[in-house]
Formats: sequence, C-alpha cells, structure tokens
Amino acid sequence: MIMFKTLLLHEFKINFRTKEAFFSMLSFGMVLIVSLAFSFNISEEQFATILPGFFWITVLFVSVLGINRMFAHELTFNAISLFSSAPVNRGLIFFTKTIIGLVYLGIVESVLIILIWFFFHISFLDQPFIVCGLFILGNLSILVTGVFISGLTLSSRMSNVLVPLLMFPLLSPVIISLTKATQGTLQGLPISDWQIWILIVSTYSVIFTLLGYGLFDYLMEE
Amino acid sequence: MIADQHWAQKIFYFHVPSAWTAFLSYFIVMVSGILFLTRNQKRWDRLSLAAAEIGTLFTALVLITGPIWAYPVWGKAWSWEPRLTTTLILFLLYIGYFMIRSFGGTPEKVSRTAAVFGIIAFADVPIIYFSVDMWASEFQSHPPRTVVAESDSSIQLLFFFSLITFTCVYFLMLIFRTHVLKLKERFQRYGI
Repeated sequence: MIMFKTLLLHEFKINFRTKEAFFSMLSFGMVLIVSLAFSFNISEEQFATILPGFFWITVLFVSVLGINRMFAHELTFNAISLFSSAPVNRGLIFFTKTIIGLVYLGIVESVLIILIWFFFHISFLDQPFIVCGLFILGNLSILVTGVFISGLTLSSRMSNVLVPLLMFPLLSPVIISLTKATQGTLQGLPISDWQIWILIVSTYSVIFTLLGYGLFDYLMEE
Repeated sequence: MIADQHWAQKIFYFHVPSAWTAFLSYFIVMVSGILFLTRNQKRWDRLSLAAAEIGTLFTALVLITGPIWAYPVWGKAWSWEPRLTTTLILFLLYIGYFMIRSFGGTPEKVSRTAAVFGIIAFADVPIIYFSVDMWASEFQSHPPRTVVAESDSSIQLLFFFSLITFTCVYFLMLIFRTHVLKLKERFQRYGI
C-alpha cells in the first residue's frame, strides 16, 4: 500500500508539473467538437441521434493522445529499466497510470459536456448520477485497455502507430455498449432497457483490469 | 441447405469450416501464448506464430467467401451485420498481432508481447461476438445456427466431411509451417 501511494504521488507530481498530456488531450477534444459543430449541417434533433457515438469516438481519440504520453517521461529519461529493477509489484504501475488517466479523462469529458451543451443544447445531466457512473465505467474500460496496450508497445519502434491500431479493434465492444447506454440515458429510457450494455462494459473492465494487473509484469521485463 | 438459395448455398461447405478452423487456430495462439509465458520455450512461440498466420489466412477466406454468398442472397456483398462485423474486427486484431511481430523491438520482447496480445485478442473475441450480436439484432441476416441440425442427413454428412477435411488440412499446415519457422531460425542462427 505504501508503495502504491508513493507511485501514485510520483505520477501526480510528474504529470502536474509538465501538464503536456492533459493540455494536448483537452485541446484536441475541443478542436474535434468545434470541428463537428461547423462541419455537420444537420438539425439539433438529428444531431441528438448521432451524438452518443460521436462523443465516445471523441473520447477514444482523446484518450489515445493521453495514453501515448503515459510512458513518455520514463522513455525520455530511460527510466524504464529503473522501474523494472525496482522491488515493486509491476501491476501497481499499471494501476497508477490508469488512475492518472482517469483523472485527466474525467476533466476533459466535463469540458466536452459543457461544450456540447453550449453548441448543441443537449444536456447529459438529466440523470446526473447514472451518467457519472456510466462515464466512469466507460473511462475505466478505455484506460485499462489503453495503458495495457501502451505497456505492450513500450519498446517498439512504432509505438505511436501501434497503440491506436491495437486499441481500436479491442475496444469495439466497449464503444458499441457505451454508445447504446448513452443513447438510453439521453432518451430518458428506464435503466432496465439498457442495463445489458452496462453489464458488457463492466465485464470488459473486470477482465482487462485483471489481465492488465496479471500480465503487466511480463511486459515490463527487459 | 436452404432451397431458395440454389447454388449460392454450396459455399457453406467452405465458408463455415474456414470459420471453424480460424477460431480453432486463434485458440491455439492463446494456449501456446500462455505456455510460452509460463515455460519460456521457443517452440511455443513458433507454434503461436504459425497458428496466427494460418488463422488469419482462414479468416481472410471467410471474409472472401461470405460476400460471394451474400451478393446473390442479400443483393449486396457487404452488410454491417453482426457476424460479418465480428469477423472483420477479429481480422483487424490479428493484423495488429503481425504489426507487433514486425515492429515490436528485440526478438525476445516481440515473442513476449505477441504472446500477451494473442491471449487478450482471444479473450476479446466472445465479448465482441455477443456485443455485436445484441447491437444489431434487427439486422441479423445470417442463417440461424440450427441450420445444419435441421438439414437432411445427406447434407449433414457432406458438411461434417468438409469440416473434418478442413481440420485435417489445418493441422497439416500447422505442422509444416512450424517446421519451416524452426528451420528459418536455425539458418538465421548460423548466418545462412
């Protein structure tokens, strides 16, 4: 537990000192939303039907940007070998990176929700607790997969290309499920109508968290 | 199998066994990946690579024979139908697997990374299958899963003959390819 706290503190310090991952995620998300605002020539009612899919694709693109920067500091200062030789359970490194990603993505999504409300007059917050739960679950499943893939491609020559190439097909069931569940919340449908999608995302999160924690050790080996 | 499909339905004797062989192959990729990570023996890595290559070849066959059947039956070669979409995602996953094999870094690191990816790619397959199945149930246009069981015995006999033949051909290909990979490694070791 002490080791976990130390690692988490270390991650927060490094990331909040440079802030490059956060600002690149935020600005890219805003650019995507604004580009959509003037490139789609459709009514607000029509837009509401495609919004869930568009929102989660935006989140996916934004998270790829952040995930590509996850191990950037360690690679720049060649600290991967130090990480590998430290007497730390490497699964904890996986968890700390995921938590940092969750914080960043949560803040970026909040800004995106405000932008969507401003530009398209669509509010996600009619059922605030359900939406928050759904978004946290969605972010978790995207990030556990992303951090895992990032660790997988750590020492490869084409890491920046490999991350989206491996991540997007792996995350296809999550994006499908999140889109359906978000559609359910936006249309005000009872939770029983779309709970199956939550179940799929939850199953996915549990499987990939366990796989990430268990297999990260093999990935960090020099 | 289905009377109004005439000659188009004959492709099922190739299409379905190809799909079965591809899934079997990806299962072997996963099992050999686990064995490589736990025992660290190079032969499991070779088996994994050979199975992934042959599995992807059979997945490509599924993606080619599917539209050949679909064009006369559905009136279009491609539809965003659950099983087609699932197979395409599976194909893309293993394209990623070969990208790792080509650009993953040092040979030891590549073997380990590919083994891990082979495991998670297979874990993703049932999730993709069931999620897409539910996503587009209104667009479900494949024949039902019970189509073979409901067919008459001569069709069943031919179908199972085809299935067994494909499986035997698959294992033969796997043995040959693993052997070729072993020879390739040996030549590389001696700088030939």
